[in-house]
Amino acid sequence: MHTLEVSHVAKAFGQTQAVADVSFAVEKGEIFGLLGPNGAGKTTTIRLLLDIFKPDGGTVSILDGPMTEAKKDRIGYMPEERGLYQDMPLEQCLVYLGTLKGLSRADARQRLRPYLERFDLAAHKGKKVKELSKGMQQKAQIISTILHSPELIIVDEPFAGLDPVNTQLVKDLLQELRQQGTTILMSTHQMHQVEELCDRIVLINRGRNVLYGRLDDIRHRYAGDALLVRTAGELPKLRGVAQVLPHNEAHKLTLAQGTTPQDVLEQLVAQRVPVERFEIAVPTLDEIFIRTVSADQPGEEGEHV
Amino acid sequence: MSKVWLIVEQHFRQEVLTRSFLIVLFSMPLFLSFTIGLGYLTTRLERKSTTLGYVDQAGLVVSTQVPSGRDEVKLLPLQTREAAQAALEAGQIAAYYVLPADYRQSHKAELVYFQAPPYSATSYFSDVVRRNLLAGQSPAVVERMLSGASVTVRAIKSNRYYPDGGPGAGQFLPLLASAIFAFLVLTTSGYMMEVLVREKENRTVEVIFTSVSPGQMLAGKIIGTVGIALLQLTVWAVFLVGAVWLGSHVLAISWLQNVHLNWRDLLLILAVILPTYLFIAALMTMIGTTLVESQEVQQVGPLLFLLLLLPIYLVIPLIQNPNNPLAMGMSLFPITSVMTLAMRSILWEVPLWQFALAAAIALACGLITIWLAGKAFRVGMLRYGQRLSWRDLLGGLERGRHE
Repeated sequence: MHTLEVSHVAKAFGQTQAVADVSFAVEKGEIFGLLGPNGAGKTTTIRLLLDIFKPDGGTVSILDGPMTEAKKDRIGYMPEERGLYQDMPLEQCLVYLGTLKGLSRADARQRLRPYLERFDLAAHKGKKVKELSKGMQQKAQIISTILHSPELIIVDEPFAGLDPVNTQLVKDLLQELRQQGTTILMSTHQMHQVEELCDRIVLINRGRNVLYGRLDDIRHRYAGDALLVRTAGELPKLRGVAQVLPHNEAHKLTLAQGTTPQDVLEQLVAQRVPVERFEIAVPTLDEIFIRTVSADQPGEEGEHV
Repeated sequence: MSKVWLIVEQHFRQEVLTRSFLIVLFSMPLFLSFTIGLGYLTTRLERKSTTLGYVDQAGLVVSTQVPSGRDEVKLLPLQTREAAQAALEAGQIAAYYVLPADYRQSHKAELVYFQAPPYSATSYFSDVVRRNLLAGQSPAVVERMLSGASVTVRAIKSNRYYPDGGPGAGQFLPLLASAIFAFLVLTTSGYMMEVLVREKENRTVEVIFTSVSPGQMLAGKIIGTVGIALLQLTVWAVFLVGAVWLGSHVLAISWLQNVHLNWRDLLLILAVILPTYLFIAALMTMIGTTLVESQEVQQVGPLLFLLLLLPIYLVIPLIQNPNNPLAMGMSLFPITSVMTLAMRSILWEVPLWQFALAAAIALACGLITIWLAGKAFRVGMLRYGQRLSWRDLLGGLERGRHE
């Protein structure tokens, strides 16, 4: 059973088709990446699955069925832009938002204390939210999202405005939550964070799915015909290699059509060349993102999955 | 605690503990204190001890005592005009009267002064002269003669009558309550629109909607706003009662000493005010859903206030015939009902059913508007930076009906 299942949802605002046809499912206890370029429809998709908007078409199943008021207490949501009361003291604001998620005031206060310590906000709990730095507000927003121990967390750009130390803090927290069985849907532009954290992703562009699946599978699918090879001496001439380019301290070999990595390895072994590194050149998610989105421009033949 | 009440409490605290609210809350009592203080000061100034001289060539003034004699006025008899003029020039007296020998026939006296004496002094002297003219009559005749004609005003198309010649201060209380209500609307109705627009601007509403439904959120905020209005009304009422008590008992201001409350109309008008305020708060909420910037709130609020004061512009036809169809219609229309009923109740004992119907219509409109506002808010809340047209709104409501 999926924690979240989105099936062919669509939403238009007047003449603008914000989401045309998006489908994906998020499994229990995974970190799922919702990716896409600016204006792809990520935030609208999130609002559709949270029932902030009603879809024009398609269905959303969240925590085993349509959204209900009772289910809202089992979900934590952090929007891309701050959603805190700017004129309220930090602690009061977080306790209030916690009580709206079904916690008692005392319970919310008790749960809040260790988080404030962990995120280095305890000394600022009496300050108004607007008096806090952008990074502090982001951390406060993350606390507000998880304070009630939700089963499903939806975070939109969770690392925006955070320095490397706090970014690591948030990453550790998300991984801890995954270990505890919490399902996390994360929307971000920071591909290296996705590579580090996400189990599966969906990439949407112009309101439609363009990539969907396990991150490892997608990277291998895009690995294509390139190898990274480092030898002790000079790289000999090899048959079936169309291009050789230096790549850090190795060489990136682009294979000609019909040549397999095994063919190249056999040639190296036959020539008794000491091989220090031999691996399939898997593209970074950044590269996949750019290739996929570029190919999906109007008039281009894109790869839809 | 229900989530609605959590929102009520939060909204109440958020709005009440602001400097602008406290300024509005205490501006009315301060204005009231200023008015009463001014009245008191005027009375005190009038009471400044004044000495009037008089030259009684008619031999009329035997006694200078009157039952309601004021200590601050002193009368000084002088033998001749020259002596009086000397006393005036020496500053011993503020002015002097000359009652000529033929005063009983001519009834003409002469008042000489450099600067006009206060009215309290001249009216005191007139009273003394009148009482001396009536010397020898029985006290009952004297009082009857001095109190003048007793007029009862009875309008042809009104069922009210006024033995004292006009409505007393107490009969104006419903109108005062409606004026306070109008002031309340002017100062607080903007809250709802401003709060909603602000929460849309800073996206807080998006987080709140993942915890409660739009209906719960709006109900909480509207009830919170009504609570704020009740707090204001209570504080103002306490100040008003306190000020009237202080003015009548401590400062002895005469125009505050004879306030007779018209409890029936006062309570009935309050019963219309509450649901009407609920309706206006809900209406403001719905308008708030179509706005995108806080500044726009400042432009919309006064328009509603103008509509609220419509009965004042139409005061002539309302007074001429407090039961004409226009008056009846405005008495039942939720925005104008409070002011119209208050104005009519001065001239006419408005039947109970009209108050009840006006309150019921306002309550029904309020509840329907809350429901509509919830739907409208859902349609318009996340059209960030885009103004929601009425066509969008109606289209969204129509779609919402089918969902």
